[in-house]
Amino acid sequence: MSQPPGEDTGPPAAGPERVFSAEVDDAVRYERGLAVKCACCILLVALVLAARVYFFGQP
Amino acid sequence: MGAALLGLKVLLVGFVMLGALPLLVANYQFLLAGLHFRRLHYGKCRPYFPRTTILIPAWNEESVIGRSVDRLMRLDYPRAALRVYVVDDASTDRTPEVAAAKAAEYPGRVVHLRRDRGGEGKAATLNHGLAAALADDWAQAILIMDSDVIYERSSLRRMTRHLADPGVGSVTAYIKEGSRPGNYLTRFIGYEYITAQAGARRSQEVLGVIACLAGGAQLHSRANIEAIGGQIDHTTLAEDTVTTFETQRAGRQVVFEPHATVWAEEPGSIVGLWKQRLRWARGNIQVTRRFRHIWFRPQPGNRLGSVSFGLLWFCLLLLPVFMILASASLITLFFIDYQLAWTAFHALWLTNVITYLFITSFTLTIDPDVGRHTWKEALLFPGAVNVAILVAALLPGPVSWLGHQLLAAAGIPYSLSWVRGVELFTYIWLAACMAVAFLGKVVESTRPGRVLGPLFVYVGGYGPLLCAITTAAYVKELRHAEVRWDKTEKTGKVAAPT
Repeated sequence: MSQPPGEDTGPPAAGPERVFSAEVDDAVRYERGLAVKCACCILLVALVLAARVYFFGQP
Repeated sequence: MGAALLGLKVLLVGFVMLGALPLLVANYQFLLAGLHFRRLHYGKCRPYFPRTTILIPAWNEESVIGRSVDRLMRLDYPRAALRVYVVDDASTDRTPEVAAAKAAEYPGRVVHLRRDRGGEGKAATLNHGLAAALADDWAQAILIMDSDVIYERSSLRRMTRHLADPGVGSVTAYIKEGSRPGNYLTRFIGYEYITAQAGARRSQEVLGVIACLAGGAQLHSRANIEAIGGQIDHTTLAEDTVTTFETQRAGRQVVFEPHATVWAEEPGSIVGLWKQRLRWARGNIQVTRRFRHIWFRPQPGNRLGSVSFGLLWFCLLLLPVFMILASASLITLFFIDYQLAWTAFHALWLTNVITYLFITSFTLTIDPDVGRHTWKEALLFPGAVNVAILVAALLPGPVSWLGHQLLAAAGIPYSLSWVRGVELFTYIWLAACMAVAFLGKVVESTRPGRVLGPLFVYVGGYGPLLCAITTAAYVKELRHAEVRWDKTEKTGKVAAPT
């Protein structure tokens, strides 16, 4: 699809390329951060399970 | 006799372990969500502002429709590339007047379409609007939304940029619960939406298949709408899921844009939630039947038939069945071999502990803004009793010591029958929690219901409440109950960032 000529379908005032790049960079950074958060949560689960096995496992 | 008993025990343990399958699949799903950065679609995007027709189906939406239109007019999007069609489904309130007033306020940009005969459901209303939108070649993209949904200013342009890739047929956004003031139920829903949308849709995108475009935020290229017949399916209660499946079956990609945020008003009462989710669950059962030839059958051009997607779909759909089966098996095992029952239960609940810790902690970090005001509901999502059982499974030593102390403090002598009684209760609770959560709906409309309703949900669990609704959906489908479009009431209390 492409824009039809002669219509006021131009981009928002902020400058589309600049806004686009900034937003995509932010989004990619956020998504990479999620991978780190995910890894931290797995580590948390591992620590809790280790604590259970070594300290709290025996009734 | 001995062999038959052994066979029965193996079968029962198998059923209990089957209850761990949805938990393992849920962990797999959220691990995938953590890998979403590897499947981002931005490489094929560019700033792109197609002429977009927005369809808003409206039936008696006087309290929300005007505000929604105003917000759309303030979208960060070229004015000349936006048209809004309010498709009034023969409303009997002031919706026609409000829509007409907005059409006069924004001439050429807002159009009021009126159906004289209404009540045929959302799909029929949308099809009325689609016929008008496709009547000329102005629209290059169609955005389907709900009348209460509030779009953040950047959300539409964040979605349309994906349509710059001609391989993309549809784009959906991240819907957040936005009722302010909210209540305990909207906080549960707020948390649920992080798991079901921000989490689950990311993982589905990693798998290369999306289960459902959010009904309140689905952007389609015109080519896609025309390829699937120019109409929305009206034969099921899950028209948005059918559209999603048909789009992917036609070989087009569906993209989830988690950074395009829209806000919706969700039910603030158990009865309202029940009505809405019963419709969704029945719709999903109908979709499962309708696409029965695709499950677990890999096919070219889409990933709907992949094993991973099939597992995600059926583990959610059959969750109450797994719970009831595991519970019944544990109770039976208790009476024929309680030691084996305890071992099987322990394995199931340790899986449950891992799942609870991982998913709850990860979900709260996916959307910290929502997580900050829903963390209590996140912790109590499985219900207070189930959380207590999780703690006991995690910390058997301290919990056993505490139990002894409490019994001693109460002057009750410790005995084995107490232990067995608690064991049996936990096995029963695995399924009974759904019934307790259901009681919340039963009592909600009574005088003490204002207190008892939330109490039953907190004790029984919001997750088990959703499972109870799915169970009710199965019953309705088995009885071939009338397929009715029960509209969710909207009051216009969404507060979204300006």
